[in-house]
Amino acid sequence: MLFLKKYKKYEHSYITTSIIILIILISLSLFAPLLTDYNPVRNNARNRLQPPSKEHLLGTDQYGRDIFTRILYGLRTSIEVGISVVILTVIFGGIVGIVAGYYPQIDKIIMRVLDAMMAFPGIIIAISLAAIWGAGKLNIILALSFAYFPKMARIIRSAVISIKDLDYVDSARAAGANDLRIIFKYILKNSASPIMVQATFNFALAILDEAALSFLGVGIMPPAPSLGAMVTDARTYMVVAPWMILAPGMMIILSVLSLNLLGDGMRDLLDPHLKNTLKK
Amino acid sequence: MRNYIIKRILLLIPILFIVALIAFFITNLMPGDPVRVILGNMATEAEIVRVKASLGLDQPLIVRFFRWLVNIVRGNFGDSLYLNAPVSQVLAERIRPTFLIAVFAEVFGITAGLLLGILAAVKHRKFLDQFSITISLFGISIPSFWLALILMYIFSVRLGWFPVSGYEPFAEAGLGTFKYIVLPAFTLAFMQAGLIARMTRSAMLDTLKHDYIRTAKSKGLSTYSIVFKHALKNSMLPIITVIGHNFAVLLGGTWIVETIFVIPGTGFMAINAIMRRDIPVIQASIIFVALIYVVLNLLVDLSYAFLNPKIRYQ
Amino acid sequence: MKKKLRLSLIVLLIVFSLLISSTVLAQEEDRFGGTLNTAFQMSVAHLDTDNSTDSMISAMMNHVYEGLFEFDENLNLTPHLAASYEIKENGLVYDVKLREDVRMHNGELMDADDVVASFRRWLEINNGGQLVAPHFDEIEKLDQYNIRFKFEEVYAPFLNILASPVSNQKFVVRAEEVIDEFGTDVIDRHVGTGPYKYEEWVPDQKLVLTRFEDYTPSPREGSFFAGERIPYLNKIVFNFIPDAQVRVSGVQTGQFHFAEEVPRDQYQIFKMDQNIKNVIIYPDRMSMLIFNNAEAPFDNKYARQAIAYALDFEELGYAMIGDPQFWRLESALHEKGNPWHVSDAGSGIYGVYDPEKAKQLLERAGYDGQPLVILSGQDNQMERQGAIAIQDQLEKIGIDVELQLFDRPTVVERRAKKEGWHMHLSPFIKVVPDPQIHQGWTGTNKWITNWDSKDSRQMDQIFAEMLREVDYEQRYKIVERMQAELWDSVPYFNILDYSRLHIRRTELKNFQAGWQPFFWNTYLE
Repeated sequence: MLFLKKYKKYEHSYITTSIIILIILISLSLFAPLLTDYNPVRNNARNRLQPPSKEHLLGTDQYGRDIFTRILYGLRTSIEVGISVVILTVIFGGIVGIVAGYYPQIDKIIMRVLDAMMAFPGIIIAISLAAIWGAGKLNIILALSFAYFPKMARIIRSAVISIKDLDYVDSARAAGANDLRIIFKYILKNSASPIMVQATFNFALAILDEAALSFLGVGIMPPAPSLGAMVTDARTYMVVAPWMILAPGMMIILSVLSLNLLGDGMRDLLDPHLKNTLKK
Repeated sequence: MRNYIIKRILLLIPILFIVALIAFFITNLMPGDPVRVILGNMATEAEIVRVKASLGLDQPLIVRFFRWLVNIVRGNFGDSLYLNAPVSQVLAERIRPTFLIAVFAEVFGITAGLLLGILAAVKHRKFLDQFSITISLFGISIPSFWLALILMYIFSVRLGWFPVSGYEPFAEAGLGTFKYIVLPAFTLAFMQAGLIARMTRSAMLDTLKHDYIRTAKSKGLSTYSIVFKHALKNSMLPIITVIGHNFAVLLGGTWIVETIFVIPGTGFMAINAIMRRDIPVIQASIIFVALIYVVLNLLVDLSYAFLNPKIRYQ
Repeated sequence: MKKKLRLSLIVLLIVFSLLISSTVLAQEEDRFGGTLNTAFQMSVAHLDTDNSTDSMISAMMNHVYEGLFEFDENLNLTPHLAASYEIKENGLVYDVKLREDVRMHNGELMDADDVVASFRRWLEINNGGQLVAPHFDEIEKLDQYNIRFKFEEVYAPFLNILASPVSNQKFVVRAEEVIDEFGTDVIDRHVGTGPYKYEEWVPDQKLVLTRFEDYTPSPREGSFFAGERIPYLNKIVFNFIPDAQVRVSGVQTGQFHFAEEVPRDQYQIFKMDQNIKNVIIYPDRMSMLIFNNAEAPFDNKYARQAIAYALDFEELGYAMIGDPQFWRLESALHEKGNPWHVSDAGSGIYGVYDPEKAKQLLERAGYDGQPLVILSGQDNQMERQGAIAIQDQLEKIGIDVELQLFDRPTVVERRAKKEGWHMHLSPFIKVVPDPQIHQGWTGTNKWITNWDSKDSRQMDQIFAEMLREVDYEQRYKIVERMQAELWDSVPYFNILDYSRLHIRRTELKNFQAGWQPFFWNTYLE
């Protein structure tokens, strides 16, 4: 792949750093059962609101659950949501973008609808949809994908338009290749870079927005651990249990920061001219 | 130019129609019946039917949609189910605190963002550049609801410099209003500063590469005048774009920040309305945010067209 | 010379006694004045108590409207706007004589026409009125200040329900002209007889009441809601502040004199503050676990009993309320000290933590291992944390549970359905002056229970007997049977009683911790 060909470990320290952090975070969440003796959802209410100690590295919450454990599992939730949203966004965005870019007849209508959808800030679409479908992991993934895909569709559409009239695509068409074959063989292959950059930023954004929705109570259904919902609980007990607030926030920042760093690095690496056309 | 403006404004009509369509059906498909909330915990079915009819909520959905559409074109968003007043009037009242916060956040954000971005570009690959990159990365990576709570804990709960939350309007508290505004505005400004700094840095770096800057340098102009008179001026377009596009994100951010700091603005109103299904208010809030977004985008595009005549004739 | 001395002594005495009495009077006079700022948790949809079951509305409007009867501190029913009453024809007729000097906020004297109009509206649309209506015949105006309530059959709890503080069931007197104007629609012009009158309502922000200068207090001694109410304060402002920490810091900084429902975990912090007093409400609330009696497995009483055995109530107390001084285990529907308290209610099942027995009972009920749905609200701490803790406890003993936490409108809509949920947690008001009031949610297809079986009809029978029984001893026996039946068929059960914590500034004097906060007779120093 293009990405690996250009990547040199020592010249691109951003990418190296961010990938190392991400690997650490992913393994923390994958190996959570080995790293802690506690269960993330089991209560022990007689032991509620304990400050950090040897038994509970980061203290306990209002149900007596171990906060360290919940952070590891909460991170797992964030990563699951992030990856699923990225995949769905690429699929939805890909379909809509390719159709719009490839068939100018319906391009105008699709673009107006996408414009209208982009006029809602993502978080507002997600809040409304989460309120309709109810809280829950699957519904959050759908809501966020729905909110993010218009931008992805536009990126893919412009990639398609810029590629489809190039000579080698024309000659492939003249040689009798059908639309589907052209789309997959030439267009998708050549628009991979902007898609990958945007997908990385979407991953970061999905983690942030999942946390925000769970914070508002329309995200992950309790008692499943979510970093955002942990901040909500911390807010209620901020005065008597301030230790509850720091750790989940730090975990969100660390994962979002490393993803953004990776996105920046990849953008510089793959296409220096993309810098001004892509906004996060 | 005039034709271009008219064309662009006409294009807003289908967009806003689709926005209205989505807003109407999203709000009416939400589960949860406002009448049951009005009547309280122990209400009987007979009471529910009686109040529903008195609010006109027993009509078919499609009839209500067209009635509603005709009304909003006239600027009438209906009456709030809870606030005992027309939605447009409520919106007009609630817009003030939101506007104050947004403007302050934008002013903080632009000042800090430009400063960081310029420093980074001028000191490219030096310590200040790294510093600025780090700060702006944090700006776009910190969840605003968490930052708000940390600021609240440090500056209100611990130090007592600001009220924990709440709001007093300017008319009653005078300058005292600002002590309620500082923390929410700063929370939102942090993200804006990050976004603007990143864009400023890359735009400035691009500009500084151009020949005319080199010419200016060789002519012996001071760094100050090169940066501010030439480079910044020529980097303004992408910076304005990012500001324009992100103002709607900022407004979305006020939904969460106003809820945390309990500020009776449009965002707090919208979240409240969602939580108790005050349908006319939810609809108006969505349309309000969308309208601001499309109008700002229009202004950004028009300023492009104004500065770069080629676009007009495309 | 002697005479002169005596005269001057007398004069001195008179002056002295005058001085003393005037300072006493002045002290009494000093209490008048000031604006009270209070912070309440929930905003209300409107202010019409008949049209809602939200007890927050009556908590505020108790200052504006008064009942014919009100409860005192010990839950004794006391005539309030009524001067006296007489029960005739073995309980079929209630003759009520009204106080003749009661001035309403529109300047007119309250008379039988106001009471009759208000009562008809209450009977038609109020939840309490609907309890009474099936047994009621008619209300009759005897003369300007005398009224007759006639029943088709004996209805023992009538007067208690008229003054009931539960779910806004209380009957209050409004001016006839207002009822003519609004009918059954939501009233937004308020003319009552209370010590305060409606001044301004800004939805979601505040309700302002001002002193009613021509208020005519009841001649009886003041005690909670009954007797003399003195409006010392010029103005009462109810601010609606949904965020608990804002209410707290408002009291800490002196912006508010009173805050409703503050975090119980901060009790010690308030205790150390010289300017703040904690107000713990007793008996206050119970956390009720309600079953969907129509949906398997809870269409079988053994499955319902099983849940009571499967739960560790004490652990639940810590998880849903926290500090044990704010909650207590209580199996009866009426608290200790209440004349209807049944001390051995639920013995053998209440508070017996026996997971093995629970599993046996579930097996006996033919439970097939399907996930049990707990439906609860996000916005109430007891509901949210209780539901999470119940799920945890049931899963610990191998029962699959699905938690559904939603915002209020969704919860209210979903639980009204016959399927899709199994258990629901809800806070109930513990101050229930008459056992008949439980009939509103206990019996065949009452409230959301979907309880329709041989057992439910037996319960209907018990309530029908209770209705006709006027003798306390006999009625108490029926209440015992009702409680026994409840713990046998378990259509719902109370997990525990808990108290809310309010706080007030020390300068707010003479405040009493009633089941609903009230501010007549209080003054600011």
